[in-house]
Amino acid sequence: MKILVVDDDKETADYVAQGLTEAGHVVDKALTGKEGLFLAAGETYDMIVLDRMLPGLDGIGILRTIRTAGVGTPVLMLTTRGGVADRVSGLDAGADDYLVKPFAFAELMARVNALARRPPVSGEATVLRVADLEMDLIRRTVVRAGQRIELQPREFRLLEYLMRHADEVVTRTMLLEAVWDFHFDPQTNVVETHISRLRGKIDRGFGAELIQTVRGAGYVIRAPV
Amino acid sequence: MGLLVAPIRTSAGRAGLLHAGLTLLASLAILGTVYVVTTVYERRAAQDGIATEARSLVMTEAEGGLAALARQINSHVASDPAGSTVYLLLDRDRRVLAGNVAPGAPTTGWQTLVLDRGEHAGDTALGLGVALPGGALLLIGRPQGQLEELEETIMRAILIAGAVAVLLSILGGVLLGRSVQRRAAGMNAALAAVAEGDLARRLPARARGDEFDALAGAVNATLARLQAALARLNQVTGDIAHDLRTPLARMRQRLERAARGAATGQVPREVVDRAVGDIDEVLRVFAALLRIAQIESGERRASFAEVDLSAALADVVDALAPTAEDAGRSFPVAITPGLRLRGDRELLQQAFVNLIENAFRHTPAQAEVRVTLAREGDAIVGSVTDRGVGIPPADRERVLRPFVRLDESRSTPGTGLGLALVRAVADLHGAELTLANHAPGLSVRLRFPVQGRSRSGGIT
Repeated sequence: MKILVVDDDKETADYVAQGLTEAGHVVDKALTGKEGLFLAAGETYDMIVLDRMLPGLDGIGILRTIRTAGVGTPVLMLTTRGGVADRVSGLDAGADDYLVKPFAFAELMARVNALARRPPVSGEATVLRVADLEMDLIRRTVVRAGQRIELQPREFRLLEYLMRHADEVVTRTMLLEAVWDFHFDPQTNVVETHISRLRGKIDRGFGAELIQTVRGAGYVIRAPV
Repeated sequence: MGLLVAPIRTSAGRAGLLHAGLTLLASLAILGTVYVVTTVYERRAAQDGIATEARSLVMTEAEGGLAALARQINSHVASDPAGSTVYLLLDRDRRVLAGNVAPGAPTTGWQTLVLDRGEHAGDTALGLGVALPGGALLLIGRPQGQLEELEETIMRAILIAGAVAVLLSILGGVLLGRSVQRRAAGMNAALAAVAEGDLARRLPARARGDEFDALAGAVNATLARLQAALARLNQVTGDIAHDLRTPLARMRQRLERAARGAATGQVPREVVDRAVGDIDEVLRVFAALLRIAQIESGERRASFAEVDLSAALADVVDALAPTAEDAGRSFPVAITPGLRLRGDRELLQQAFVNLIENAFRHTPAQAEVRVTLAREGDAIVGSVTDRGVGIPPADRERVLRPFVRLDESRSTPGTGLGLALVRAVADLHGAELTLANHAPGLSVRLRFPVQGRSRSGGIT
């Protein structure tokens, strides 16, 4: 992908750019709001990683401008403030996701991937499939290898999120936000416990494990190779 | 010039001048009234005297004719050489029959006469002309000298009294201004000392309870709160420094070890991972502090909305139940459905998560933790009750403060900010947070007053 990174902190910009480059992306950096807006409006990117607080023209301003100009590129906004009001104003301005600094690079990577592969809103699949695991979103049923699996509602939502992002790493924080709507970090290992139960139901006794733990990053559901 | 301008610059001086001016105006109004009333009264009294005498003389004429009247007048004139009353009797052809004044142009009714003899010669007199039967005319008058004298006397008295009033009012104004100025100066001095850093200094206040004392009292109460808040801030700053030193010191050791390893080309992955873990711990403390600060600023009140607290708490319980179950812990929950209030769903959930996690963390793995939410009168009450060792009464207020961790819990993980956040959330929602013994164990209650019905005000 071709990604634009706008951040006035050179070290953060370099760090993000380097990580994304190592992951095989082509990255442009902009260290000021003006430069960022110039690049975002002039070039075609697959993704923009935009710092919210920039001297002069800030992230919200850039976002509004390019959205008004009809640029629909997915935007991941970075911020040092994680309050609800900040999150809402960022999303209102047209951001697709929001990440609070400081963050683990794995978190940024996972969110960039999730945004990039976000399926179009129309024509959504009603059945999700990973290897021999099948989820029917209308009948709310889960079947593995022809065998019906009973899930609690929360487990169903967890599995649905994983399957919608099959082959992508999703982080603990992403799951907390998407499945529980928790925008804070409980000390309890809520995600781990639920993943463990989910594994007990869909993986145990079926040979190949579909849900895999990615050390230091999160989880991924993928067909075994 | 300076003397006049200087007092105007201070509000005390202006108040004094205003006071003096108003007193002066009031005295003038009173004295003026006295003057008018007295002179009018005296004039009327003089007229009454003249009229009475006129009536008696008319009576004499009616009984004994003009001749008797002329005799009577002549006897009056003879007995009054000073001429303190003047008479004039004219017959039908305006010839003088008796009297002690020259006929001017006599008519009937009230008129002014000019005296031509006696000790009042040259003065004017107040006169009354009465037409007698048969065309004769009787004039009686009294010199106005007495009246004018009286008026002069009263005027003099008024001027003296007025002068005294002016002096007294200026004096009063100055004294009033002085006293106001002195008290303002006292307050200024005290506030200056506070500004210099002496936060224990208070404004002088007397027991009299006038508006200065009330003002001083209000300022003193504010200063006391400020002092307490600053003391708390100091305490928290110290605590932050202390709590962050530990992970930072650990991190430093690890990185030093890593640096030694780097020299030999061997940096164990584990060392770096642990250092990152230490940093995450520091960042978690900062995140919690920022969140508490944000909650305490009250800015989130702007985004309050109707929250189904029952559903929000049920989601929290749903998220945490598997953990309790895995630990073999009894986790009974009783939530009355459909309890709603105005608030911030996310913060309310976080508060309950913190309370439940606290209970999990500070009690043995299998100890029961009970969660309830119910309506109690005009309030919604949520509670988290455990069967652990509880908190001694003396420490219950203390544990709500940031970074306070009882010695027994030093070994358990946590930032020491969980309950401080719960308290901030409770304050934001006007809820009452209480910690009570549950013998054994601890019961934490959050009591949210519900608007609409008999809501007692004053909860902030």
